[in-house]
Amino acid sequence: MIVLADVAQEAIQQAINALSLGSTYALLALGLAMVFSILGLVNFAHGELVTVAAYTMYLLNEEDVSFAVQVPAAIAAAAIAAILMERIAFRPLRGQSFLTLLFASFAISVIIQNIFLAAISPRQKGVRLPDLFNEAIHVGSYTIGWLQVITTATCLAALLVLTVFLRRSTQGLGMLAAAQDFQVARLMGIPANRVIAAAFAISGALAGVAAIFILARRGTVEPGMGFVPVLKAFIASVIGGLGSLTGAVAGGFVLAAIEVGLDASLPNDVLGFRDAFALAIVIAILYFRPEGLLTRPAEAR
Amino acid sequence: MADGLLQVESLVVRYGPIVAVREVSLRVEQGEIVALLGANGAGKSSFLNAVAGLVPPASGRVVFRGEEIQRLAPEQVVRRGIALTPEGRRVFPRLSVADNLRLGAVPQRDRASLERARERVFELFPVIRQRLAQSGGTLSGGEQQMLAIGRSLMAGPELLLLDEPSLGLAPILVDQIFELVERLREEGTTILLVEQNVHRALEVADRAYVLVNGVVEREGPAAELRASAEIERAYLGIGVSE
Amino acid sequence: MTRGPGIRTLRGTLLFAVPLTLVAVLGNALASPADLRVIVNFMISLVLVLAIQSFSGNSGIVSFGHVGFMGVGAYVAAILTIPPAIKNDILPALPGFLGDNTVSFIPAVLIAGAVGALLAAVIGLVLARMQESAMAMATIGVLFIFFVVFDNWEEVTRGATGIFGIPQATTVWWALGFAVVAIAVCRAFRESDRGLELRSSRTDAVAAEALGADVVRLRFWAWTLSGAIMGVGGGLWAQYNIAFGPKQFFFALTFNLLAMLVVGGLGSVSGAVVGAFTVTAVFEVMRRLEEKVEVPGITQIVVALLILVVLYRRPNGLMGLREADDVLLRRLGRLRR
Repeated sequence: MIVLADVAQEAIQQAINALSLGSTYALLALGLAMVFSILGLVNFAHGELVTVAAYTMYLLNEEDVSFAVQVPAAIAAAAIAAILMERIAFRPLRGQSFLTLLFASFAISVIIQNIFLAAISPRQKGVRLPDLFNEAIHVGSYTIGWLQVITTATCLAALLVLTVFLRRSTQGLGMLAAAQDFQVARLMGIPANRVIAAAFAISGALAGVAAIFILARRGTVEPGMGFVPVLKAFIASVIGGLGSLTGAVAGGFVLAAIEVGLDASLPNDVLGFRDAFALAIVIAILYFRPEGLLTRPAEAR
Repeated sequence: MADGLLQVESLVVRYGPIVAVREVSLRVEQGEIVALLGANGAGKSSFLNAVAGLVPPASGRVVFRGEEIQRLAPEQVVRRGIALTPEGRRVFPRLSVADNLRLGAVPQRDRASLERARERVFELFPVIRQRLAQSGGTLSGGEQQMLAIGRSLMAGPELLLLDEPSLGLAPILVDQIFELVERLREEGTTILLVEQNVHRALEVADRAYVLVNGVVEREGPAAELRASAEIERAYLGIGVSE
Repeated sequence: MTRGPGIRTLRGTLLFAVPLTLVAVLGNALASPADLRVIVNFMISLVLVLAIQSFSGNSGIVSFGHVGFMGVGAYVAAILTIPPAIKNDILPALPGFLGDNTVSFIPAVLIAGAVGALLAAVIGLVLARMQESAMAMATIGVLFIFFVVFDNWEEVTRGATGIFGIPQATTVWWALGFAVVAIAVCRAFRESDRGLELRSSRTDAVAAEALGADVVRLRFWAWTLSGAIMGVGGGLWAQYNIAFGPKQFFFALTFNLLAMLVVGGLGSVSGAVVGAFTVTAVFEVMRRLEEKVEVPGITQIVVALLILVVLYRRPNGLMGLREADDVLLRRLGRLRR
């Protein structure tokens, strides 16, 4: 009986872990998929939006600005950075090949990383976050970290707000339409530039929200901090079928479930290889479903 | 010569080194049905896409109601009163039928005309009303075509560009499409029609143009062209000049 | 210009072999040790860039994962050549036959290439089936998997601490020789029927398949070939730079190699060579400047800006899609007329 309860508790604990991790992945993957579905651009520099948001918090933190101001400022900074990225770097390349756009975003990613490196420091810098993030809730025999609860709640709320916006408003519907068929959306009178700018702004804002929790988990900023998150987001969006918005969100949760499952089941001496195992599993999944897990073959195009 | 509703002069469309449309001139009068005919790859779709603003023309002029529109983006062209129903229907597969229609109405300014357009679409295509909650991708081919045309009508266009509306449809649906084209004209919409079904197109059209390799090979009243053998040749892909 | 693939390969190889030899001879005679290092590393990076070009240039699919195969080659060469005295000390957990034996330079390089090819083949079986964009992204996963393995497999790689004690066996002459061979191999592949079919799939996978090309199989073989060359490059690199850690086979190097490819032009062997030269030159100039102005990161920023400028002005790179010798001969032919 006691063993069983332990197993159940363990399972619930792991599910919560997966949910909070997955919700950050989902936000990043969704932003990536949004831009990809409309522009055909896999934005390598998406990770740097996380970095921009995190450094914004770091800088404000240094100035003793309150956390309540840091959060919206970080989200706004990431959204603005995304819009600028599109306006300055990607717009002149619109209509170019997948490869050209990918390389361009790769270069932009390197530029932003090195700007932080040159302007602030190549080293990690600590950021003080509210104590709440380190505290836990005790419910009966369960212990749940506040960080995980807040992460899950905030990310799910962001997804909900975005879904309502996309489904209900004409502007949002126009974006969904553009994601499915950009040319026809334009024939419907949906302005291309506005849709693209909005897609970047949203992808930036989502990255900003995710950045808060990524920062809370690691506690430090460094110029290359966006890389691992964006890698995870890439993988999540490939799992879900590149360009599918729902797929990206689902892919984020699937990836997190795989990672948490491996964390729980791998023996200690190979735990360091977790990410390698997770990626290998994902790539193996893709072997059987090259179009992604959630895309039905008929809908692939 | 009085200016038509749509006046296209020496339009050239190219994709990189490939010239799809060479100096095509064409005129559509208010209330006409004009057919644009030609073999596969003759440049018909490229022509329509250029008029609608999807492809910027390399040179030439497109004048609609006295205004030059060849530099406008598609989202601006549709606001001037030209709607294109693209080849292959291209409804938004993962959006509901209702949302598809709602998107068609984006250029509408006021609620009243939006409601009027909506009622008209439901009257023309009663089946659409029953499918409102379904997603576009689940409709049959014929229903998708009706939705695609209905979606274009939601903008309340003065000129409707139809690209291969009968392609891939069962004969009975083909009949319906051509009846629809005539009815739309009776109700005051001018139509420029690209069709591979030459005979049917010439039955409904007032005038027609025949494109061969991106050039207007023949133009004239539909009745005249119907009697001509050149049409057949254009369709077999044998250039008249060769 | 309808010469056979053999002649074209020879022509294209000679066009670059001559100046490269000249650089090697002059460098060997005149350059300071530091400058000679730059030259040798440039020749090795030629092998690496050409390896990526042989896959990405012909298939049109970018790979971020190739540096992983280079790392494999480097670790293989290291384990095969480090003297047992050092090896048993830093890698005590190696199996006895690896710990107690060594091989010489060339076998080490060739085995590095073979292991690179083998691993590329295993990964290629999965990746080659994917769609272009999904495959490109999966290659990022490949790079990351390799990094995690290098970083954690203490018994074989010594983890994050890194490995040392490799005898420096790569000379400027060996580096030159391998660079020239790599040019020849990549050019021969490009000119071969398989290479041509793969290149036609680049513009239109559906059309190429209709013409009978099995795109998945072609991609697989190109991927495996490039994994082999990458392994060889890694073996050379390890036996020149004598000590390294896992971080060296990660994004920074991937970026630099891709920068060379983008700047020169992905579509041709000439592009890879010219790009490697251009980026190395910019890199060296900037590195010296960076030391003076003391702004870390400025070199990377400049190289990244160079990529952007090239993408805006010449999306196909400085050399475009054609080989330099083809272009030169055509120009000469026109002059004669």
